Amino acid sequence: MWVERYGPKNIKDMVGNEETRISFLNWLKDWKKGSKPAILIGPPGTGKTTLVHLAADELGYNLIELNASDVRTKDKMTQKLGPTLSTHSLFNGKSLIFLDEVDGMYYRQDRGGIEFVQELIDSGRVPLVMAANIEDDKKVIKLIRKSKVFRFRRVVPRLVELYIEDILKKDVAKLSKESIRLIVREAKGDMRAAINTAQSLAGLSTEELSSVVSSRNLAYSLKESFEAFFNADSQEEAYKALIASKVPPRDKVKIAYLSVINSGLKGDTLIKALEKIGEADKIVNMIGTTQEWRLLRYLDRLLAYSLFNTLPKGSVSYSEEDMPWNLKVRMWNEGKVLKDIGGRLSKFLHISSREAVSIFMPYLLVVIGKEKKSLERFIRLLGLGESALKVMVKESERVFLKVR
Amino acid sequence: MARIETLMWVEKYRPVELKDLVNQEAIVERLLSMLNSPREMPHLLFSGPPGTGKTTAALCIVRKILGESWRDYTLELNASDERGINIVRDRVKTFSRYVGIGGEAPLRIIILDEADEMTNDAQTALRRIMEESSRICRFILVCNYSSGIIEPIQSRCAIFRFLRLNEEDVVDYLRHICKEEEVDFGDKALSLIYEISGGDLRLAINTLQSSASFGKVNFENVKKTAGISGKSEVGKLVDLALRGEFKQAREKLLELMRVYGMSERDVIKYANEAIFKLDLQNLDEVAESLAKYDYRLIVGAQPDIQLTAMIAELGKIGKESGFITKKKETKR
Repeated sequence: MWVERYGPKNIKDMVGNEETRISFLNWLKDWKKGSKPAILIGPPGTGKTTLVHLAADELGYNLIELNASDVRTKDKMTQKLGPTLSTHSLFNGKSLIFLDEVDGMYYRQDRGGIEFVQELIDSGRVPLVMAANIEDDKKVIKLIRKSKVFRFRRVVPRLVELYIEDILKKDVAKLSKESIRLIVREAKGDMRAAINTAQSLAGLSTEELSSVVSSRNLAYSLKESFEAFFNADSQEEAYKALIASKVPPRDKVKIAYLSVINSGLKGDTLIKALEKIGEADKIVNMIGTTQEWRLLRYLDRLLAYSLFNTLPKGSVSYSEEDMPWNLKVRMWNEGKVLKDIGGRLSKFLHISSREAVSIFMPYLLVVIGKEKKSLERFIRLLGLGESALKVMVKESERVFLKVR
Repeated sequence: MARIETLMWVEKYRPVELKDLVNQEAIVERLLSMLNSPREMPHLLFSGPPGTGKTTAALCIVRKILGESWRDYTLELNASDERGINIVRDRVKTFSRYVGIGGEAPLRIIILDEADEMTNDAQTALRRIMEESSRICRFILVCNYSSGIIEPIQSRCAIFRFLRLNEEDVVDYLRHICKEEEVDFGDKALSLIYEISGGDLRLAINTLQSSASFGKVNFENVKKTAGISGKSEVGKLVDLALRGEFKQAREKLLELMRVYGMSERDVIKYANEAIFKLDLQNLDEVAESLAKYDYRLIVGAQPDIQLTAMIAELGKIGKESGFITKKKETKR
């Protein structure tokens, strides 16, 4: 695993979140009995766990870690941490307790675990560091109040790029500028993901790579490259245009799909084109589930050749129009509220919330009747508010139109 | 409208004791004998068509074993809301291990509805948990097709196959409800409800209650409510597709999925129910097309691409079968 082999070996090798790193290190250096604990919050792959490990190393702490793979009930935690906490302990050297993934602790599962952490915090006998991905979680909010917070942000693309280039310089593999750009784009600020993708791309031969990642440096816009694709004079030209678009695989298929849908094609041409796009979509899924990037080369060729052979030149133009605006508006305004309603209903009715909305609700609405007052009362029973009522009134009208 | 549970007749008339279950005598007998010593009860797997009493039976068992405080010791989950492994890792695992330890209840029970909707990963994870927690925890898995449950789980469960209800049973039950609610009804109307429901008692009761809300349960009122559920919306989608109304059919699809949150799997499931109500010569081709795209939903990344492709293909099949002209004839 490259992540282990080429991950940072000391703090100054880490990238991104530099200020946070420094202030965390200072917190640990200045720690004394009774100090507040630290909580590190940020998305995956931004260096939280790595920082704690390296900091403990550099300052000579003995690190005791509990993460989501451990059962974190009070008993288990006492068992593991007891020796450290006891003043008569034999290794009364410097210990640091690290609770990783605290947002993954559960009141029920990790029985008493949260309370135990609270006690740990209050005792303040050893440095306590916690890490979490999200902060809008009830437990995390509680912990934040009692702790010094260190926030981690996604690593900026340029730094991801530099780090990957650095790894490659260690003579592991050669990757083109374009490959690196792909890695950076796919990683979205997650260093771990970036290194993993780099490793998977490095396993490809030069020839394979060139079909996965475009080696041409044409600064086509999205629209231009797809227009060129749909107006190509040969298979090869179509293929090149598609590659030049430099869109992630999933979006490539989606744009081809939406363009075809919105161009008013009919009959066999439409059927065949959609079927081939569906095939391409299968490849996208395979790449997604297996992380086998080499499959990408088939994607571009399949899309390019099959659509070139199916679609008359110029019959399709670029479009990213996903759905008619009236549906879009309904999706935003009603979709979420309906989901809430379904969630509440499912609890009373022993059916899934999806079924509650799409199958069951019309009957309910008929039974409640057209009167707004009855609907109001019902919404109140569900414990929902004004927006839910609005949607229910609309749905009620729709249903009664159908029964007339 | 004091409580939601009594507002809807499906809930109000849901049996609370096993012996009141409609026409599943053989199953009830076997279950009752097991309940004599609940601690020795194996995990249970209920399979069968919708509206035959599977969930009801599960709830009856839970009440019987756990008594009044059954809610505290029961976890009820619906796999179709969340199909992945997380539901097992997070909620099931948590519950099976830690809830109510030291309490008075003899067991904890997890009812996993629509268990055949769970992914293979999730089922594999579940299998371990079933073994590890069997001392204090029982699972009742509920599904339409036991074939959707992986073998190792099936072999850990006592399997009960619920039978489709026949007309007499359904009509009897509906009649009983009408009398309790003091609603006027006609026998022909009850037969029509059975026909619409296809033996699904839940659907039948919902149809009954909505017809009754128009005054009485007569033929006309039953017909009125026949087309309101989401299932008939999928029927409309299939109809549009077969008639070659590609754009409209796709918009219907997007409406069902994005506004009403219907899953792609449900769309194709109800589409499959809808096609067999059609009078089509090349029904085999329609079924083949559905099967093809059902598979593609599993192996593809973007469901609406696959379902849109299916809509296009259905248009061709509909055209070849003369679906359009047939429609016109019936309209006249």
